[in-house]
Amino acid sequence: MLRQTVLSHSFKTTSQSLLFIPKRWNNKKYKEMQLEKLSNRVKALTQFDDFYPSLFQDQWPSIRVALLCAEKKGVVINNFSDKERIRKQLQNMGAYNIRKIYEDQSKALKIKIDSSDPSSTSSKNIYQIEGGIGETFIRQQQNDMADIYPEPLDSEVVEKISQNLVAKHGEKVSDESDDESLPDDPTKDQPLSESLKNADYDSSRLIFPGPTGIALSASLYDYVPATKLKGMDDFIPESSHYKYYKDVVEAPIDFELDTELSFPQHLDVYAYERGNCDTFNYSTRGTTEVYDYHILKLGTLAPVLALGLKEGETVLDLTASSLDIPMLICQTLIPGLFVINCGKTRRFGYFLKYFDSFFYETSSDTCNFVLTDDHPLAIEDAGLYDKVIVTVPSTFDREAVNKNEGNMFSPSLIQERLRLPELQTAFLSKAMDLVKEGGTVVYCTETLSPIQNDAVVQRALEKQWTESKTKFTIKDLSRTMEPLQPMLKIVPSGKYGQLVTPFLPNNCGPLYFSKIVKNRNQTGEE
Amino acid sequence: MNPFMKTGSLRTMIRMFRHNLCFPADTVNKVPILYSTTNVSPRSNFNDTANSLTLELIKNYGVKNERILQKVVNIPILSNSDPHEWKKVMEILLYRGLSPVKSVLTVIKHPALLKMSSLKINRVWDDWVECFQETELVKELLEECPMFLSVSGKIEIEPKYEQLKAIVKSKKAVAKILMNCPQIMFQSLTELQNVSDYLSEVMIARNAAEYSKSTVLGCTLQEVMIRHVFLDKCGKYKPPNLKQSESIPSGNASLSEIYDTSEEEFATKTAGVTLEEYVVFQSLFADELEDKRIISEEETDSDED
Repeated sequence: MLRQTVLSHSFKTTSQSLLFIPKRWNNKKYKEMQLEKLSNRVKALTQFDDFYPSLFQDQWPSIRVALLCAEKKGVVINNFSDKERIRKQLQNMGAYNIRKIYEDQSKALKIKIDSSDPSSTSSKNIYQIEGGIGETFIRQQQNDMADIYPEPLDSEVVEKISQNLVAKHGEKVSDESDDESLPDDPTKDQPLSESLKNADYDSSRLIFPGPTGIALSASLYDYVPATKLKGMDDFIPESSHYKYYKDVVEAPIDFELDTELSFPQHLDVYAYERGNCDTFNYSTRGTTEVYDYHILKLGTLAPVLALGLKEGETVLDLTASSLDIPMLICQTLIPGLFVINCGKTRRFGYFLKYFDSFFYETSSDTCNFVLTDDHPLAIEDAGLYDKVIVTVPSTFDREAVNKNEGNMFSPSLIQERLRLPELQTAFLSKAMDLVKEGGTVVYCTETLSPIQNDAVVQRALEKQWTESKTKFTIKDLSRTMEPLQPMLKIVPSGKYGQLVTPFLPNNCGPLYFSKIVKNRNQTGEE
Repeated sequence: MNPFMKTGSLRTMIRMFRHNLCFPADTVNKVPILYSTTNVSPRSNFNDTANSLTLELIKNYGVKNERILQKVVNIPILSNSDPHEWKKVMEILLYRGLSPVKSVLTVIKHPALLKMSSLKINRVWDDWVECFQETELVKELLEECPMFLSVSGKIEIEPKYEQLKAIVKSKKAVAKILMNCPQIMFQSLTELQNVSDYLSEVMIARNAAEYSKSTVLGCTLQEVMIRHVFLDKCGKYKPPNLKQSESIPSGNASLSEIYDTSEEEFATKTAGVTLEEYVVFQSLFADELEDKRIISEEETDSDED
């Protein structure tokens, strides 16, 4: 009996010590945190933390916190409902009409520009990304290198590496730096067998077979060199994406400052003032049996304004992914014909149903907008449209850091993510084909990544030049977008576009947009 | 102008000052006199016998410092109280080892001591000593925070002490925490437990000694959460890796830098954003918590049904 007690006691003690699990690891919250670390949204955030700080510098914490908070919304009033009643209702809720703000700001800006020195750079923005994309490329490669080789590199070596990188990308390297550059390796162009013949061996490290060396040399056969690194299979360093971007542009591109942009007269978009994060209630049907307003992402207003719609024009939304842009364009009441292409997706039915609840007789012939479900690359109406807006699929940075479902950073979607810039270029090129001479293409993405933004615009422009010798003009929108600053933080991004940057008091975006105009009678002359 | 003007008129005057509006010269001269905040009090020229006796009594204990005496005069509850009450409290404090000056300062900090019975003061003091098992530490603590003598007794002190001891492990740290944030004594035990759990489980603040260097345990759970979540979202706070040695710095801001700074300093220096962004975040976070509370309440209701 005594023996049994002693045994059971000793077993109890041993099992307790063997099964000792720290209290924290048994904790539900801790387990949840560990699971959260493996989620797609955390993967996206890790990728962004790796790449964006070098691009946005001190602005990154501000952008990061805004991305992780609720997006600011606005509403566009339905012109087919009781407009005056809705206006009053929204004003009573404390919302402001952005058209009025835009007009007032434009007047003030015009007076400021007229009174100031013409040489002054009024459009220069303090939020401009530091350095060019080339610099960011070098910085990113240095960061990647530092991650692999954590030991601090000699500053001279770093400088030489960056100079070599610059030289590779077609930059002129000064004569002085040529003198200081690393000496050329004479064996670098030789095959491995040839270079081994001439190689200097460290004889102290060679182990020769013999009575004393048998045991040692036998153990060497056990060594199997590593063939693959495990653990970070789904990690793609962002610097590798830069291969898509070239510093030297292989197409003639004109740049022009966009000075005139009018806010459509019938477009009434309301939003709360800066710092107010209140939300709008869901819309109800008015006396005309259609919905009063549509709640939208406020950032989408900027690319629609950039289109510069004019009376009677033919407009195409090549890749309508959300209702916001089509709804805004419809509510301007300007286009003569507006084609909304939903692509081969389930969106077509949903769009049709939604538009039916906003407008009368959407399916009749008299209606001046058409819904289509063609694949964007299969549309054949080249040179038909006055304005084309193309909202391409992207990494959708805001969704990527907030949702796990349909996240582009999911390990199963790595290949799709890598192919995104190619697909985006194809869509933009198609839009450039479809637009008339003198017509406008507005390219939009919902990402901060310059590889999906500026690089795609550049690639598409080059493609157009090499294939059809068509020249395009990039419109600098910095001045025309300035009146929107009280409601949106819009900053110049790269060479070709503007970026609606997430910023908590005006938490919209990220939304990159670039205005590209097809030049008239320039085909094949140069 | 009526010298006994209503508060509303004063507000209007201040507003007019701020906006640099026109203001009659004679009114401007009157305002600082009527609403002066200097230490000159109408009670400074008192002739009350009780007051002079009190002062005399304090002076008899060897307290000659004019500023301390002036403070006693300026606070009506101190100067108007019975000299016997003063004598009673001074005797207890001197007996407990406090110097005459520190005894007077202790009474100034917590005038309610004068109205407490000597039995109660002694009993609570002994309760504190019984919990801490250290006389000097208790003397230091009660001298700094004499309001702790107003607690009901051991029944209130012991659970708080035990809980704090479980969190920070040492008596000295407990005393330091109580001195830094005396509100802990008047908070609920659940709140303190929630804060401590949040620090150890969510923020993974492994070094408990750091708690005593900040006022974090005196904050409410919402106050603790808001700054941590904000830093986390800014990418400035990463939960330390438990597999890594504690000696390796995590790179996170210290608890003191997070919780003992003004909103502006926290936003600009610790988080690296603007104050405006932090203020907006606070309102968003409050909304988020409210939404969560409503959802959880609804879920509880549906479960009950």
